[in-house]
Amino acid sequence: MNEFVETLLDLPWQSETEPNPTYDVVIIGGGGHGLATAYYLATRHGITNVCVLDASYIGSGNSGRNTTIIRSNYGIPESVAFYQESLSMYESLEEETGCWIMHKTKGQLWMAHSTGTARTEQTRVLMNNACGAPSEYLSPAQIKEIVPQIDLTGGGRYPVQGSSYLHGGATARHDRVVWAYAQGALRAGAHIFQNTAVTGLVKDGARVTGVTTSKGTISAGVVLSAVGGHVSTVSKWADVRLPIRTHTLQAFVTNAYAQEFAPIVSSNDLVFYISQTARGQMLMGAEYDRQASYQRGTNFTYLQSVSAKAVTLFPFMAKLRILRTWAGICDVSTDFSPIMGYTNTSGFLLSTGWGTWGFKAIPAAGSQLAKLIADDKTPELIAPFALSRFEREVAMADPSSAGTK
Amino acid sequence: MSRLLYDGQPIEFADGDTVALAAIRNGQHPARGGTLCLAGDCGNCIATVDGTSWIRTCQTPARPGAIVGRHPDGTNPSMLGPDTMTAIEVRRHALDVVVVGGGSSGTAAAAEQRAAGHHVTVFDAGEGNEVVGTFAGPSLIVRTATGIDHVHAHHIVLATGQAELHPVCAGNMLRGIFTARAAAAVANAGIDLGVTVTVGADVLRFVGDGNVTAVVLQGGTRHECDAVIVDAGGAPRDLLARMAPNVPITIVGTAAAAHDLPPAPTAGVVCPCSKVSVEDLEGVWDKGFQELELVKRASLCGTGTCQGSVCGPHLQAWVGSRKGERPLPFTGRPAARQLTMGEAAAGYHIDTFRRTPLHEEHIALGAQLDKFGGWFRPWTYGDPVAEYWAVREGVSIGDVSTLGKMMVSGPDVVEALERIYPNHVHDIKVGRSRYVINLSERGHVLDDGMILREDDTRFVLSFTSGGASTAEMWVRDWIETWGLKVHILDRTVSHGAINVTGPLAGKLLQRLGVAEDAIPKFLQHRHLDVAGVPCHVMRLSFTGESSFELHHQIDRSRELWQALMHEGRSMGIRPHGLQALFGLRLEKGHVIVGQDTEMDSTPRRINMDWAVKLDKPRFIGRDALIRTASLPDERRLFGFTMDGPAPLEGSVIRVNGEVTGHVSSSWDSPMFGHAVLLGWQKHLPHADLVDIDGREARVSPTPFYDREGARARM
Amino acid sequence: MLACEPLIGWRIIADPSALDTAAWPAGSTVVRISPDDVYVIGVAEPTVSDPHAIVTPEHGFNGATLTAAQVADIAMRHIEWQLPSSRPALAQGQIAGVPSKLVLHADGSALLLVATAAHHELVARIGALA
Repeated sequence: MNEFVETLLDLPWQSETEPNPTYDVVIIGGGGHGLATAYYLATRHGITNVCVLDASYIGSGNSGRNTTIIRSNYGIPESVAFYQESLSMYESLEEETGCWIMHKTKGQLWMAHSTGTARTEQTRVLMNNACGAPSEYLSPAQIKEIVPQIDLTGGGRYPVQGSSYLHGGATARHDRVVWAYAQGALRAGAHIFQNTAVTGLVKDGARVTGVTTSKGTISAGVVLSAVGGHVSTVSKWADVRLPIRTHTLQAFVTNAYAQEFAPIVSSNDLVFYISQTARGQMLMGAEYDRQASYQRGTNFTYLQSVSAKAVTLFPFMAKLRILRTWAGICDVSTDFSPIMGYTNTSGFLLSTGWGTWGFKAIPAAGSQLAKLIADDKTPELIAPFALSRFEREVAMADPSSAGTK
Repeated sequence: MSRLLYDGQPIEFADGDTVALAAIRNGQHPARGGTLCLAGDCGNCIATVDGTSWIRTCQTPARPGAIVGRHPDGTNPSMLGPDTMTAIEVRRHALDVVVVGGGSSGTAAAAEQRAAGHHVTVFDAGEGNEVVGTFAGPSLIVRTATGIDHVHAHHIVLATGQAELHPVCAGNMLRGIFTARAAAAVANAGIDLGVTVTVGADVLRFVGDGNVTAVVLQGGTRHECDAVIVDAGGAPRDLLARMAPNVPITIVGTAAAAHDLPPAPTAGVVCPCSKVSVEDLEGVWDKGFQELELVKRASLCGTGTCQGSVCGPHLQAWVGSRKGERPLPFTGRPAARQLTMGEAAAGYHIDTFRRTPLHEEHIALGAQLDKFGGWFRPWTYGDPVAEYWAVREGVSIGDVSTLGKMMVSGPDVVEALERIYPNHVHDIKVGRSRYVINLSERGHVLDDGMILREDDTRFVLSFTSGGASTAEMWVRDWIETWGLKVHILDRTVSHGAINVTGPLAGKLLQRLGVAEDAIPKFLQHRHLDVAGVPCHVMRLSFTGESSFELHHQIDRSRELWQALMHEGRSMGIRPHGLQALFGLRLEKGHVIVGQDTEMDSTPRRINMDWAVKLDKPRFIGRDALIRTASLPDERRLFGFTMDGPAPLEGSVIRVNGEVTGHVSSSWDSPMFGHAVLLGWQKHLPHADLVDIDGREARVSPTPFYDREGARARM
Repeated sequence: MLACEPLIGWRIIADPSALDTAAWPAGSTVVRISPDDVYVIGVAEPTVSDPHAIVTPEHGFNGATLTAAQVADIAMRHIEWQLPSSRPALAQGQIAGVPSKLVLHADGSALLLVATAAHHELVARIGALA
């Protein structure tokens, strides 16, 4: 047995093999966001007549494909506040759910290799500290202390000028977050059906009143789309147009090695991010593919470019062996911020626009959306992220914080 | 016989041995135990070779003096040896038909393709050409004896055969278990395994303490032995096809054959890479992980070095026996054989840094050069305040060669520019120029620059350094979309530009041969020789002082720069870098697009409605501006003044303790003796007094300096 | 090392038909960058029939003459894309990560063109030539 075989957590599936004809809330998408929303509806608001539907297995989408980074160092106050709430919730998620999600606070470096980006990172520190995400700006010598493997000359071309450092930067095992929420939701009485594809929405006039699925039609008080990758399709059924494009995002992991690589490291100029898994592997990612696509294919150029960037700053990685590459498809909004809450179609809510940054938002988004559904009122923390902001010309524009460009 | 070091012990090997065979020849297991396939399929022979861990020793030729170490038991291997990255050679080949695998079906496929007139290249791992991945293209990545080959092929044929099934039963991690082909390879190498027993899929358990000493079959038959040879059938090596589902790949031979799954295992280690036993699978299944992928993720079965090559069929069989249907295999993902990151990175260049034609001049003047938007540019020549005063009181030159520079010409050029720019274009007179902004379709400011009219149907356009790289595509795409007849030439990298600025700038030009009455007035431009260099002289001002941009062919840049420096010496000329320039323009309240603007900044938000003429019938962004004109708009850029020192750019702006915005530009003005700032207030009501870093700042109208703009016209 | 020297030429942006029918002096090198865009080396001052044409000196390129063997070597070591198989031809794309043009002559030799602003990167990356 390896030390990571899941021995503690179980998934107490409901005894029903088919969905009930009616639920108060139907959630499309059994990833972290959908399951967390079900969990908080059931555990915090007593709404247990909830059904989560997934076309495949739970966590089969981006929840099981991300690079597991939790951070809150965004560039606009609304985002810092939101992601900091999520970061804090992650810190106590093991206590809350009783599940070991392998959460580890590591700190995150976001390095600058030029005067211009040094300014961006200093700005980030100022904004983050002002909005509740403790950060500092580090000198190259301080960076070297945190991550001694670094070549501060950046291979001669990308000298490290400094770095913002988010003290609370953390990682957690993505699958276990999904399972922790699934377990909690199931225990509280929610239903989760895997291998159940939603094929359309049921409408009564303009209002969404249910879903059609590969296992029949289900009526719903409200329907929440927590879909990743195909949200435009689902929204179209609700006559909701979204300012979203879907792109492929790749990542890869190397074989494990014994030396500790303590922090999460990102580079603003080189545009990539890297951390070490609990198993000792190096896990890294970079920009999403420029071409919009629904494919989960990988390409060699990506391996080349990310490897070149990583090896430039961390020469020892030249000898690490690439174990596996994979890809997910992510929904990127035009202002690079999420879209949460009501739409103009009554009965239909969204949690989307999670782009490349959805994993870190799972606890906050799930809890806030649950609160919204329970109270029928948008909580202040997520009000800035309503879909209507695009009509109102109040974008949450923060392109430099996506870890991508 | 030659020697290598294996876990510190010298061992002898024969010519042609792999590292794994060398170990076996010396009665050892190359790693710590488990069935050996010696074909690169499994991870059971992995060790650290010459400082690189996770090496399949069965695929690695033994080298005299090589240092091999087994991975530690239960923990990860260390990185050994130096961190230096040796240059790895990359070769690119464009090939016709590629056959992967040089066995019998590969040979037959190659012959067939050749007979059909194709040029065929065979890559065989046994000959040192390991295909590690297939990608769209179609393309293949091949590890060769000398480096990495990037291969484009018209057609790919996979003849990779089958991997042999490993036995999964009690005792299967003992030493001394070989697949049939591995045993043949061992015999071929002249290595005697002692007493061997050959068995099929009906093994009940292996017996031994470290080394296998007996095997018990399902009927109960027991054979005492020194080694067991397991011949239990195979599973297709089709990962190269599965990892590229959209790439047309033909699979031939046994790799394409339908195959039965092995019987569902009941004991033993299923996944040697991740040390997952049948008991572990049962454990996670009982906890509700009842999909193949969930079993995999909850146990890590199949996530190790061999990526499921060993355990995949057994796991499929095991899950299938519980679900009553045969599950699909895992998604295939690169790489099939592991590349190092150094091998993957080889031959790749992250980006290209450009140099202006004045690069050497800046170095000679001791400039602090840094990368801005892909160019090396001078940040300062050592004393930004002195550079500032040279501009305000004397004369200074700056390298603005990185500005976007374009010429447009054609019968429809006025119509095209009227549609591109929100300001009027038709009324710009020949020899005159106008400041303009570019808007996106959403009415957001993309860039700013100048329009200069050369004649009725010809204009010169300028863009910011940051906007230069996308300007040509933007202009060309729109003009072609509209079907207008305009010729476009981007001259950004073929023309240099030097900004001569300061109250003595005009005098300096006169000293360099420009007649006093030929000097352009503010917003005029003219073609003149300056120090004998043909220049397009544009009179405009970013610094607030009298300024002339001298645009010229880049092969004359250094000559022009040197003449300006030489002739300006008696006027106290100093070149200025970006740091001083940013301060100078800030005193004038000029925004820098991208620094003071955000991706959703409308002209209104940056107080530049004056540059937008909504009475024009059409221009890019007009519809959006009209739609949003009546919306409440809380976001606004303001000028501020406060006592020094200037706060850091990016400092938050607070009103009544609430964060309401941030400082986008900040400068300790040598002229005023206090700080001048640009910054955002994003919530109503906009305050006149705000808090920045715990200090008071006051909203101030801009420009801070020379509000009437007299100095630029001097 | 690659001898990549500054070039003095002309750039003409004009109607494709005007460029199609333009006469170039013998010995000039004519690089048709796109249907409406020509780069010419070895002419005094070109003229074309399009009255709106942009005809301007072009001093923004460095160039290097390559033998057929050098072209093949550079292609193998530094070009991820496939060169056209016909000659003469113009190929444009990244060489060693630097945007470049290859003017492939009928005799197999070639003129490599790169923006002066980036030529130092290309020279350093290509290194020694075969």
